[in-house]
Amino acid sequence: MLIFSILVSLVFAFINRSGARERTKYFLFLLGSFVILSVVAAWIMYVFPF
Amino acid sequence: MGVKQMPENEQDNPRNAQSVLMTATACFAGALVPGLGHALLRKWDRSVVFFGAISIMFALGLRLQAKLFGPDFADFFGVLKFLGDAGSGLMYWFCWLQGLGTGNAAAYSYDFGNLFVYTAGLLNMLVIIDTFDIALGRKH
Repeated sequence: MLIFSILVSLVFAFINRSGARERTKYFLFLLGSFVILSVVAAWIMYVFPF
Repeated sequence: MGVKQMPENEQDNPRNAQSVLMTATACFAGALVPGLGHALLRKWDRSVVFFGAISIMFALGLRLQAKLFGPDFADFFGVLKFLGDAGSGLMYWFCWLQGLGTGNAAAYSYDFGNLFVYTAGLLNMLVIIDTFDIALGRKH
């Protein structure tokens, strides 16, 4: 999941932003969002028995 | 004041025709090999990142025992799976013709592998749109 998040965030950062600083900030934002939202979604799904 | 002078007939402008040809060439190249369109437009940093990220994603998908879906137009979802896979360009066609990516549905990693391959293809489609925008001068 982490590898997937890193690669997708990298591509999106280069598509949507220009300049190293902007890209780095956007990359970290996307990567953090991927990881945190995945953990939150997994935590919510944990209570469901299916 | 400040208004750009346009040629009387834009279609006759050789620079315009050259721009259209360059746009089409860059998009076609990007559809064949991820990042090649950006390389033609001299966007080296983007080119390297797109080629690297999409190739790694595609290769990891195959390593995780993904199935490469062929051009089977029998059902709608089969078409979507094929389009997602084939978005990676020549990488897909080369592997598919070599008989790679037969897939192992019993493997734990099968779904993850498919996800990686679909995402590689879809990201390449976004990259082609980015090439189109850059070639038209909408983006730098």
